[in-house]
Amino acid sequence: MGQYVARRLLQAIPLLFLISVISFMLIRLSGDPMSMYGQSSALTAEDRDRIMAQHGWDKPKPIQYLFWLRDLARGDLGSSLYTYQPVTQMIWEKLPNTLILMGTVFVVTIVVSIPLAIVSALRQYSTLDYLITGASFFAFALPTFWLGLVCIMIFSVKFKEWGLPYMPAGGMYDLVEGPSLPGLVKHLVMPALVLSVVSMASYIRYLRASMLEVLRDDYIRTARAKGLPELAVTWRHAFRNALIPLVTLITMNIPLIFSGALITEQVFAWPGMGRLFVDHANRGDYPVLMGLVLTVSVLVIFFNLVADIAYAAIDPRIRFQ
Amino acid sequence: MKTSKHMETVTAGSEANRIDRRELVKVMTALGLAVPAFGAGLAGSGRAALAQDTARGEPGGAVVVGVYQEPNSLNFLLTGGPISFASMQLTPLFEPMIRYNADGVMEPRLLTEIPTVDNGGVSEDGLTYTLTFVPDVTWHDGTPFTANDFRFTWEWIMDPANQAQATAGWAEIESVEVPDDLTAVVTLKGLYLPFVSEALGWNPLLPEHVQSTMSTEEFGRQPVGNGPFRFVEWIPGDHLTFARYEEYFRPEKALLDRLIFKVVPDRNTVIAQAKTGDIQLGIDYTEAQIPEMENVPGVTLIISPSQIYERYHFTMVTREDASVPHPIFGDITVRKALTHAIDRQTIIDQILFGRTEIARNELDNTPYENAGIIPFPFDPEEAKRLLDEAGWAAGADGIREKDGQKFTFTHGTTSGNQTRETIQALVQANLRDVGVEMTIANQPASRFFGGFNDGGGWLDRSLDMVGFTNGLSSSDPNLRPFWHTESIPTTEKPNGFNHSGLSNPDLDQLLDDQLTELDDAARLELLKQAQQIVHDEVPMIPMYDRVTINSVSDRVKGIQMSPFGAITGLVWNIADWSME
Repeated sequence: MGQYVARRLLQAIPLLFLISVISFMLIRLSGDPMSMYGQSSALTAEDRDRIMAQHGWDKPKPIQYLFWLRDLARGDLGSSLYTYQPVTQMIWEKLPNTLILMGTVFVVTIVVSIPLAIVSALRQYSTLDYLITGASFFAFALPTFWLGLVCIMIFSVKFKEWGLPYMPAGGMYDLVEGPSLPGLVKHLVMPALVLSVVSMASYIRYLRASMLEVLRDDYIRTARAKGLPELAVTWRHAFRNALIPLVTLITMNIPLIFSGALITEQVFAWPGMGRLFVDHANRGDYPVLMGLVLTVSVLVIFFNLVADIAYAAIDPRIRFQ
Repeated sequence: MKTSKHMETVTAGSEANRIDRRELVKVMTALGLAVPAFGAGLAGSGRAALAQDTARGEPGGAVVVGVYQEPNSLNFLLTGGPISFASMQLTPLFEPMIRYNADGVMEPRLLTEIPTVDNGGVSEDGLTYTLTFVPDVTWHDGTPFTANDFRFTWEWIMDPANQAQATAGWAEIESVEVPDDLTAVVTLKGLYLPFVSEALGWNPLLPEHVQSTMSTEEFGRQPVGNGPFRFVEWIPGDHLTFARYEEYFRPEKALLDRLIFKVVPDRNTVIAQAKTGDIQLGIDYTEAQIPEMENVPGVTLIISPSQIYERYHFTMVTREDASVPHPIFGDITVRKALTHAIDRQTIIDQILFGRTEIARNELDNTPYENAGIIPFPFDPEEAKRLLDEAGWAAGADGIREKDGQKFTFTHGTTSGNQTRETIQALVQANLRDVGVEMTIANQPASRFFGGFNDGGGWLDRSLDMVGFTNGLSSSDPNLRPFWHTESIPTTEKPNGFNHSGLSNPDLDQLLDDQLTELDDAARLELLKQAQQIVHDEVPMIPMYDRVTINSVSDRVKGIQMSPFGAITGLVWNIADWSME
């Protein structure tokens, strides 16, 4: 197993290199950082020449990539072309906020969707099953930006108009009152709800399908035939086996907790990683984008490995080759 | 000089200045530039003095301003010039040397008066400026402000290691001498008229004792200013908080206890927050948001004109060689025809809710505009006649042809902008009516506004026509960077802003001369002639004036929109704002 892990980690190096080359070229070709200075006539032509020369933007793009790679080799992700802050610092500033939001969503999703999926599978084709699958199908189809805006319109704007206690429409804290835990919770409810609803939908559908598949297996029939109580059949045999693919799904989704939610963070003004990406993508700020892409790539590769190991740990039938 | 006296000097200084520009103010007032929502006292003359005597509100309270764009830094060296979006935060923190009031009239702030030849502040040859600063100004850490800070700021900006973005104005300085703590004597390398507005107008200064101990970027995260508000905290992506500076050198200290900028990236969420009262000020709405914000109880929508406007630039020369005319738009008759063919008034009425006007000329809505220029009217028959005259005959499929070439061209602007895309569709239909085919080739803004050699569609001449907003983005009417032959971008010299590639020797001469014309009235005359040539050459179709749309809670008092600089124009008197 130690050998297996070492081999996988070694394989990650060329993979990350390829990811970085492709991302750098795509990012550099899709946007030009000079667009940030675009319309300011306060910058003379000489100012622009100087800025381009300072960043090496007057050189061909492959050379610019090598500059970036050289800095990375020194452990330096560079500085934002917009805020001039070190990229690592910017990521560290936003990471806790994203963990608060996405961590909450993750826990809520798992806690709520597992029982719903099991009930739905055990009572297949019942009214309850139709209700749960129907609702999750509907939720799965909802775009988060739309759901977010509708929630803001109802729970913030309309509730205020109707004189009801209303939810804050965005941000993490009440700025006039200052930061507080109740304030944070109040601001967290809507974005977490929107994201949970959508991600629950996919978990429920996934786990329900996997549970149904297991319930049809021979050993379940054997368990029932030998007279085991239904509860034991469900929990000891069906659920534990249905859980195996779910563990993989959960582990592989962990990087999402770090990368944040692109759209929902935007709509709810949540200062997280997703917004960091969107804000800087719009400016061609490639050091920040590369920093984020690289961080998420490392996490994805790592948790893929973890998922494989966990899979083998849960399921004794799987062995490392 | 005592504090009570320098206030008089301040008023006297702006008085003298206003006489020079009285005619301009009249023009602006006549054009309806004064914001009707704040109509009281906008009669024109006597306004600068009035603004200082206006009854002020009660001190206390906090105003939360919703901004969709976070400042990148609070060091003005990194924010891309004095009239950038970050001026919203810089203006409260840093006292500018000169500001523009609600009439668009220059007011000295850190200076005792605006240097002119008449008041002895500028030498007869126009090369030496004597700047006198007001006494008793302190930085927010209590250290006195002196003329040495001015000299230091210039030195710091000009050292490339410090990464200053804009050096306009500052780069013209040959030397700065500081004979005493309140005087700086500036010698220029050569005559350069925009010096006052580019280097002194709106610009803050840096405290030498703080900036010299850290990098430009670090200072921008923990700024020490000398304005009515001091910096408290900045939580990136979330908010910035400023508090009243109690030792502010003017008797009119800021009224608000705190000023908070809340970062709300989604513009729909800004609307929701303005409605719920989470924010008291919503900044820079789009035209499409007008109907939704117009009748919100307790919130006033201020729609005011700006100096920037949406324009469609013709590509007049080829990308490869700027001396070779563009196969279609190299012909002035064709450019005129297309201008006649587009129904701009209908676009304004239907898409922009009738809230703006057809743009007239390059210096629209500024005191420097040539008001005699009349836009080409919508006249499809004239358009057809001109196209016939230019040799573009009607083709079999309704699209005109000349020498076997079809009249079809590409038009690009920023993608994902619904207003722009809707307008493109209307323009497409207008042009189809006169037998011209326009195909749309939009690009994301981060690419469109890129450089000449990096696919920046707005100036690289890969598109036949481009649409974007621009205009007077510094406070000086220097048109040279936009229309001089030397400003045409090329592969070797990519950084010029003559997008169309217009080259006219008479225009070049005027643009050169206005940079060195010491007499205000004579310079204005040169600029007016330059505008006339730009109009006559039709290098672009001025589409419509962009309006600045902000929403203000009725609980906030004391806001007076100034026509100069969309965002700066809102916050110029932020010390006078109060909360009811």
